[in-house]
Amino acid sequence: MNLLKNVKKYGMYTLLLGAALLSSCGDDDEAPAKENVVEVFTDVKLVFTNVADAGDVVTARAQDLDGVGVEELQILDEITLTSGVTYNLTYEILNALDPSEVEDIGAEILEEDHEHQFFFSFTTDAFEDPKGDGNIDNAADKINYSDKDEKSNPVGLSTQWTAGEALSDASFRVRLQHQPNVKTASSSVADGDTDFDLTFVLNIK
Amino acid sequence: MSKEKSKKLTRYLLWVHRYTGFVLSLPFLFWFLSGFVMMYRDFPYLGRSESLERSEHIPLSRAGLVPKDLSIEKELSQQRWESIKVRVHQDRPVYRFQGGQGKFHGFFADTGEAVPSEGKKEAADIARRFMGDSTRIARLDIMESLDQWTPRTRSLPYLPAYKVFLVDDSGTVCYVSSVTGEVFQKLNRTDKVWAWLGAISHWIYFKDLRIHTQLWCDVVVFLSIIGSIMCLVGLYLGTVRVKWKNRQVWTFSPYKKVWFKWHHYTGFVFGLFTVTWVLGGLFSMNPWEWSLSNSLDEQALEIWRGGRLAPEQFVLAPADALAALSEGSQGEVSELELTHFAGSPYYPVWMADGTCRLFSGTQCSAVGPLGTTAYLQQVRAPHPEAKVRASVLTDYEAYYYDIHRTKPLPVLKVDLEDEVGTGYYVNPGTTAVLMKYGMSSRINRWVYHGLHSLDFPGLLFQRPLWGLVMILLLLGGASVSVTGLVLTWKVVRRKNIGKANPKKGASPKKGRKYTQSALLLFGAILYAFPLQAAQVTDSCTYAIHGRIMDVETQQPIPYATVMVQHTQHGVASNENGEFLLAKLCGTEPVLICSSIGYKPVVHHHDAYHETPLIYMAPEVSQLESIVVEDEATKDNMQSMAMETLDRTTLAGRTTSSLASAIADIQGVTFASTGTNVQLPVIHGLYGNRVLIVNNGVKHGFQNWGSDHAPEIDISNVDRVSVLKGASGVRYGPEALGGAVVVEGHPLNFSEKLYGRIGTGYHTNGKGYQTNVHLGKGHRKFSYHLGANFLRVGDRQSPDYRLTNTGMVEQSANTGFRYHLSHWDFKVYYTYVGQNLGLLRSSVAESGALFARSLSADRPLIINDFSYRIDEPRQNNTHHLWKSSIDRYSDLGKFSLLLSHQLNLRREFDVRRNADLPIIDLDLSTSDVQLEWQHPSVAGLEGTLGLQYFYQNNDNNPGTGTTPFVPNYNTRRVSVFFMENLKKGGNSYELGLRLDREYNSVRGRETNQTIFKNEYSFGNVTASLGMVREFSPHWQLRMNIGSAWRAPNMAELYSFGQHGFKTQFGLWRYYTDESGKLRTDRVLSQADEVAGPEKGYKWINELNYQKKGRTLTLTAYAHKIDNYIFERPVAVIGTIRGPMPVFIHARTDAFFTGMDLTVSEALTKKLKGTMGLSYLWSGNVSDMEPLIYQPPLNISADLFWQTPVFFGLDFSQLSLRTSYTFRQLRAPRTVTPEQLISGEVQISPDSEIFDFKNTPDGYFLGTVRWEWKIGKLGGQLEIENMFNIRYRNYLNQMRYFADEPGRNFLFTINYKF
Repeated sequence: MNLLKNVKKYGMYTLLLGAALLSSCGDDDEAPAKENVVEVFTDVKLVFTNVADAGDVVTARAQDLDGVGVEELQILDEITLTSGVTYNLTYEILNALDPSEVEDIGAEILEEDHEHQFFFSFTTDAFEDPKGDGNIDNAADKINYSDKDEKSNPVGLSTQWTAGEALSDASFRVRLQHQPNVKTASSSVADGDTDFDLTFVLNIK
Repeated sequence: MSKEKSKKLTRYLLWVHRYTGFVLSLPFLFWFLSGFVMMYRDFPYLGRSESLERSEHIPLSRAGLVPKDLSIEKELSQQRWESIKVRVHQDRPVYRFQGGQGKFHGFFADTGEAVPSEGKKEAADIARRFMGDSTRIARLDIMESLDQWTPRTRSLPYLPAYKVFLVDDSGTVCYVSSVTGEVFQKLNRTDKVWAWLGAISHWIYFKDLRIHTQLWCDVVVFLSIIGSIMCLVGLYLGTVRVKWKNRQVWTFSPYKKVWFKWHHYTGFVFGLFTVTWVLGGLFSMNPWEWSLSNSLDEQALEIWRGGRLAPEQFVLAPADALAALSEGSQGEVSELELTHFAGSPYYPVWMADGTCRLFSGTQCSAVGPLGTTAYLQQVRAPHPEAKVRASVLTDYEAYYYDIHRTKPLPVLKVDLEDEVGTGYYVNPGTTAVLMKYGMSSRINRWVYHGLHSLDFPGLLFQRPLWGLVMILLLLGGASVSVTGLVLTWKVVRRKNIGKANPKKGASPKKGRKYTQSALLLFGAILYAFPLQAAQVTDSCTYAIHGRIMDVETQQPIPYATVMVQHTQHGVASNENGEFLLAKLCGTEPVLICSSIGYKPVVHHHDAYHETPLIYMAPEVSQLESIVVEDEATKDNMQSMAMETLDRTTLAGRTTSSLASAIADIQGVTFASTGTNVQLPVIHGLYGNRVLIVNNGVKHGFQNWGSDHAPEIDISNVDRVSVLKGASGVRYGPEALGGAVVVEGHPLNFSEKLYGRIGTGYHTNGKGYQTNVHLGKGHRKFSYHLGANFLRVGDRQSPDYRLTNTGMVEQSANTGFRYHLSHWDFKVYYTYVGQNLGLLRSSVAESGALFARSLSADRPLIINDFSYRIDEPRQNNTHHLWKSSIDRYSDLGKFSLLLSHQLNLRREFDVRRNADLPIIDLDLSTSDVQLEWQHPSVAGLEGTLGLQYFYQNNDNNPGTGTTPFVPNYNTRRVSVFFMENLKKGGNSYELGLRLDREYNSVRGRETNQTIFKNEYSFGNVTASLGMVREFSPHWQLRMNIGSAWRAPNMAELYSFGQHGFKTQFGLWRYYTDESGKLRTDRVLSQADEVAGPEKGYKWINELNYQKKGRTLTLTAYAHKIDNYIFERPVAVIGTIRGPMPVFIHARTDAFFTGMDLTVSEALTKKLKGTMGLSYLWSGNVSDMEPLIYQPPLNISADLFWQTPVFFGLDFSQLSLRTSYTFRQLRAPRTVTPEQLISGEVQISPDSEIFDFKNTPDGYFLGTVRWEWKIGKLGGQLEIENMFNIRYRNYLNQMRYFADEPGRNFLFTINYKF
């Protein structure tokens, strides 16, 4: 009984002391560790390459230099294609927030191509092929996807476009949807979340 | 001295000896025990000889750079150098300069380039070479601050360093400096164990103390001075108390008790050595620098050297100077130094075998040891008058000795015949002065080393003899300490059992008070040794005056009996329920109250609540009999409107959140982010404007936004009180809107083993829950244990599944309470772990999706029922440790409370890297509170308190996103007092508080640049109130109080995307000249003074109570300056498309409103309650409404105690209905589409808006049936019984989905 009593008492003191020790804690003045910021797009560049002449390249850039800051998106270039020419459209997608560590997001998208799809819309019949106004309004509309993911669904990192009649001040909108677990052969812009959504001015001469 | 006077002195000295002994007997025992270890084991240092031996040999032939040239080239001659050495670095010789502040500079001795700092790989290499080639390395840690094994500031210049852990059986670690590339410490596991047992305990060498050299010195000096006093007094007492009782029988000691006797004996014999030891220990610290240093000071060194250390005087490179060294032995040079003697430069050279040779810095020849005359001349230089005597020592002597025999020999000893007896010991091989003695240092040598280490010549090197003497004396000292410790312990026990002999403790009253206050101080300092002086207990004159009432009817119970436990002593209450129990022998009896038809109650009485109010519960009631010792509000301002929910009410709500459990109180509701995250709202204020006081301390959690709820499990809670007034005085900042005070188990004494097992199930979300509670109250000790587990799956609204709204929560708590007469000790711990799902459809990664979610009738993602919790979710863990000591005395109640909380929060969002938390924060909170509740003086009662609060927030790396809130440290010091004057039925109150808060912030900008800031706030808070009793039935409480709150870190610094929003804190955005919102830099107090929020609340509560009728009307007005709130400001174009942006803004706000509760016992079994709460609020600077404010709410409840059936003991049916109106005072609506299309243009100055219309009003009904059979009880409840489809304006999820629909809830519990 006596022992039990003592155990209780000592236990009490130990606990009190323990709590006192816990209360005294170390100080630090470190900043948060540097983070490798993922899933931020600062630069998107559309690259139209003439299928017949690899030297004929048309590019158009869009930038959002401060990432999550309030700086608005800037479309830097207009797209000017040549009537009748067939182009292959590819992208350069970067995260350049930290100039010393520019990241190629395009490579990440390629890795996860079964979770991504590019959708397009443009001024009706601006292109000879595909005709129409693109598949943002209606996912079944024709787009010439040249690549497929492992489930044979279209991706859009590479697409083919044949410019139509000359026109100016038309529009060309490209939208990348991130569709983890929801991408199917029939998925549309309504599925998943938007990685980027850019509308360029399109000229055809 | 008269006999009387001498007796008085003896008594006084006994007092001193006793109390210093209480404090120091344990440290003394530690000193003696570690003394044994210290005889054989020193603190592990890397010895010089080992260092030389293991060092690589200097390739002398490559050290061809002349120091003079280097000095000219690098401009080194202007600086003051402490030392210049040549060491080796990766097979190349290096000049190692150590500057005035200890800073190292290294240059290669062949090319003169600066030596780069070492990397990890090089460090591993260095360690390998040092320890031998076969060494394998287990691991390498970077070391940026001093640790336990390098606790002295002299190691600082070596940092940063690498700790190289070797693969060997002894667990060796080498410390390699990245600055010098040297191994500066080496030790293994055994060294560490011995160091802990020996040097660290003996020298109080704990790193955190030792690195503050001055503080450490002060602590040791302080302890040893007190120790010296204790020993000297003890020695005196031990001598004067020797008694010759009669000439024939020598009794020696007057003490009859065995431990006293033995303490006297051991003290008498060994006391002297204990004194010499503690004095030796004191002098070892060289207190007040009374003794001169044994080394030459800077000036003397300059005279000795003939100028300061000047590399430009060395015209010969080491390679040339040492050419005389024979080719064969050249490779064995471990270290080379640059020094001067009498104006000439020399190279003393250490060989690997520890021997030393001397070379000139100007001539190509070995000089060998310089002649004695040269040294004599130099010694005489500062003492031209003195006669000198020189001799060469080939063995150690009384002043120059080394127990380990590592000091160099032979040495030249030069004695001056001056009055202080100055003596020099010179190493002729290196020209260095090894030691210098003066008078005081000679005394110190004998006092410290002589008396402390017994290193007397003749004894020191007689190893076994020295050891035996030492061990014998140490054993003696230890036995004095042990007997002292036992005596200390005995007193604790005696007080504890409470059987102090009343005759013996009859000391003068005044002395007793001093004793008590001195003790309180000791108790506070040492914390673990709380003791108190002998307490006089007047025999059998104590009386208790109490009252016994029915808990349900509030009527007095006549003829109830009150008995003192285990006696026949007792009385019965009179017709008014009052009783007077007189002629009690102790002040803390255990009372047993009983009455036919009522549950008996055991009450552990204490002397400071002399008029207990005993509430007895009818045997059939759900309620328990309780004793109210004092008004529970005593701790708070009594004039403030307050409501309390007790265990009985909470028991039926174990699946609810804290916020929803208290939301039935009028004026209180909750704001939420879905069903799992709910936080209390008091009169329109929530988040960090309502302080959550968890077990007496501020609940330290990430209290920002409306999506972080306090991690408190209601099943761990015994009572919740809601204070509706500004409680800034009592609780400090953040209690602007009020406080929610959560109390854990009360840990009552004298309760037999009790337990409660409960389980529950609810249909909506298929939630199940189980909890266990167990406890026991002994006479002096009680404990409690509890645990709870709750799991809920996806909930269901009337029309669809709310996907990902499940949760899991587990919690545990334990408390211990221990009672010594007039002392109360409590330890408490709670743990809560949660994984909370948030509605899947609430996260939209783009503005377009957000717009679509808003306009959709149903959430965009609806899946089948599941218990799975996916993103978005919150994973939180909260630990709370608390310990408290309460001391009751004639001087009032003193409380010391220490607490520590650890809050870990990880939030996961729907995003590409969903497996990485987007928020990963560790927040630790410490709290120290010291309070004094003074005794009533002419009706004036009050509390004086001191508080220290510290919070440290750290972001854990690996979120893949810029930290949403920065790292920060907050410190706050506060002092407050509250006074209450009672006059008749009225009382008047005044409270005042001063706070000072310091913040240090470190964060990252989006491009990962670090920003830092330091700022502080201070505030004075006041409260004034009164309670007026117009009649026994009518009472008015009136309080006007202020409170303040420093802007929260998230309000200042939040930055980035979280959920569907992009948010910016006050210091993360600004508007440029053109009125455009910019976020490209971090602001600080220099740009915008973000002063604290200051609130002034006037609150009045009118109470009417008569028989079964009560009315409570609360009316208030509340003005808040600098009110910080979050508001939508824009939809900005990003590459992802348009995103909604929220900013934090400031304004002055005003709140006014009323709460009303009326209840009436319609019949004996039927009771009705009606309630209403209304709030008007606005932004008074811009004259516009505030966002997210609770709308008007009315409710009506009916309680019917049904006739019993099926053998039930109790059955009650209750119905609660409420109607919540639509909030009409809300901002205008601007849809995201309107913003995207540019139809509405918004700037930070535009009128406030919301993205969606406020939801319609709704009617809710809940029916509940409670029953009880013996120890088994339970309830059946139907929430939202009409399955109403509704949205709650204060729920962030109202943008996306309806609230849950009908829910059947079953709970059952068994009590024993």
